[in-house]
Amino acid sequence: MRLAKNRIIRESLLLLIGVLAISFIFNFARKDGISLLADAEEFRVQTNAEFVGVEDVYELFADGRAIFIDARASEVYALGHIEGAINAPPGSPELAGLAWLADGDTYVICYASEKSQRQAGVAADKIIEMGCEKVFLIMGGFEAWGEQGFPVDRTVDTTEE
Amino acid sequence: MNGRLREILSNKWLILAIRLILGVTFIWASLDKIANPGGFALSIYNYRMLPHETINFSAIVMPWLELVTGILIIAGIFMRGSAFWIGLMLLVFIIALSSALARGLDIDCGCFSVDGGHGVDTGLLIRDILMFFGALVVIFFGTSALTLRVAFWRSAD
Repeated sequence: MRLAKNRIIRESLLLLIGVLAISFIFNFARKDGISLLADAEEFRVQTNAEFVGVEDVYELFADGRAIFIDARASEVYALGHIEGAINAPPGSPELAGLAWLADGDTYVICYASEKSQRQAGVAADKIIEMGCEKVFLIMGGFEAWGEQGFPVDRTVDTTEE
Repeated sequence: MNGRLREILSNKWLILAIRLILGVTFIWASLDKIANPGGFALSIYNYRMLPHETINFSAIVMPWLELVTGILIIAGIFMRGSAFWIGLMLLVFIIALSSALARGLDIDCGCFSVDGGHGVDTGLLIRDILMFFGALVVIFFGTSALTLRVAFWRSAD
């Protein structure tokens, strides 16, 4: 076995230079290109939906006056979600298929995990765009719901060994 | 190293199969990220590992590195350099996934789709580890057999 170190270094550097050039040129030429340096503000949850406390959300749940949208990935949803929640991550066909929500007068509660609330924000904004007015996010996300011991469903059995 | 094992790992058809698997996977993985750099930046942010200032830079460069190395490793041009970068990216993914799993983050992996496609799980980690070893095989045992490099320039390693 003969490992041509110099050749690997040369090829890797040339590749890196080429990729840096292509990626920067493409990013600056496109309309939806992003800035090279991001600050923390860019990643905060920016949404037109309002956050509400988990107790208030539970009241809507208990009265059957809300539809719940789980914006997390399907694998995470399967491990546990708010009872009756619809799984519709941003960009999914399930979310696009929720236009019927605009016909009703129910509350729509979007949620994700606490650390990926922006995902819920993106889903909520999409639903607002569809024409829904009563769209809200859960303060503290799914974790806040679980910590209160409110009803949770699973589509996979995690108790099996 | 055992001569028999070296003979198996140097087999040109095995190397070609690994190049195709790595190449197709990385090309496929790059497309949605290139189309949606903002979404990919958010996926990187969700791992809570990089300083904010470096997230957009990574989101701009990494998808193109995936695409270019994916194409070149299949073509067999700059094959070892491509395998080096693919191996390095896989190492980063392995560290990021392990860290996310250890911290119990239920985030989207951001592997192939930036919009809520797939959560992080051990299956992904195993897949990345296997591909990492594939990249090492190409770096250490890759030859110019069955490459466009030979077809165009007729030079052997």
